[in-house]
Amino acid sequence: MTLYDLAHPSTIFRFCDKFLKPLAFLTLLAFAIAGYMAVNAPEDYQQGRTVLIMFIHVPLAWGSMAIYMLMTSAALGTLVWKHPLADVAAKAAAPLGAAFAFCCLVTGSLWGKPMWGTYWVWDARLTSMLVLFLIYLGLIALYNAADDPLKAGRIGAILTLAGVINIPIIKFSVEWWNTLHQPASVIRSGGSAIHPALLYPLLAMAVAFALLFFTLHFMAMRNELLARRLARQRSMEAFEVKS
Amino acid sequence: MKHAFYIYGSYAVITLVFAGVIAHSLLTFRRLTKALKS
Repeated sequence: MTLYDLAHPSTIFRFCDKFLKPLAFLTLLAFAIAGYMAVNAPEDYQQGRTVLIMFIHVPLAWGSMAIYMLMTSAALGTLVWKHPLADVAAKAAAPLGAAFAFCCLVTGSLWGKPMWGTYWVWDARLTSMLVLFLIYLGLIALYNAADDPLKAGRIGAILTLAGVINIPIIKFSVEWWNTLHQPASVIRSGGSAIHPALLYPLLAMAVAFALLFFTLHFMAMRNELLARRLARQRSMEAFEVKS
Repeated sequence: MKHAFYIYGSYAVITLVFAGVIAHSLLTFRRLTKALKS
């Protein structure tokens, strides 16, 4: 199957439909394994059992940034290659990115209270993550405001490309500024600073969240394709009634 | 367990949010397929 074949809406619809159930099953299995590993992981010497929050907070943070990068490549697909399904992929990913960013902010806040003594501080990492969440909300509003999905896709792609500057800011904020948020401890030069007993459950949970994203993205893309088919059908019916 | 409120709270929030996303997606799919058939 070439990229050209995948450009057809009915092909991608069948693709989503076919792989959705196996992917959902894999996601459940991955969460069961990752959950078992997380519950049986040892306590952190400083955080105690609150390390359990880190097993979900960190993958959610990675996910919210990865989803934005996926939307950025979809934006390039819309603007540069004019791929007919790129804006479908971007529009379907935006609410999922918002859900990931929201959950990341809430879990981080719930971890911060017992560990830092506060739910929120306006430090660079937390603020830039909040900005990412607001960008997602802006994109959702934009995609739903325009009547013409193609026009909304193009404007959304431009906004997505403008907002991508926030991703390196989130990543390097803990190095560029003095923040209460700790510096990178997994993806950093010199290797991970986390003991394997805590690192493996974290990575297992990251895989589970990645699978969850793909399952939800397939569902959302399938819905978006159906919505466009319905809109086309209704406009054709309206045209037939007029003529 | 110490800090149980924060730990269970975190897991409850993500469960509710993603259950909501899944339910919304499934209901939208049902609504759209019904509308297309009619």
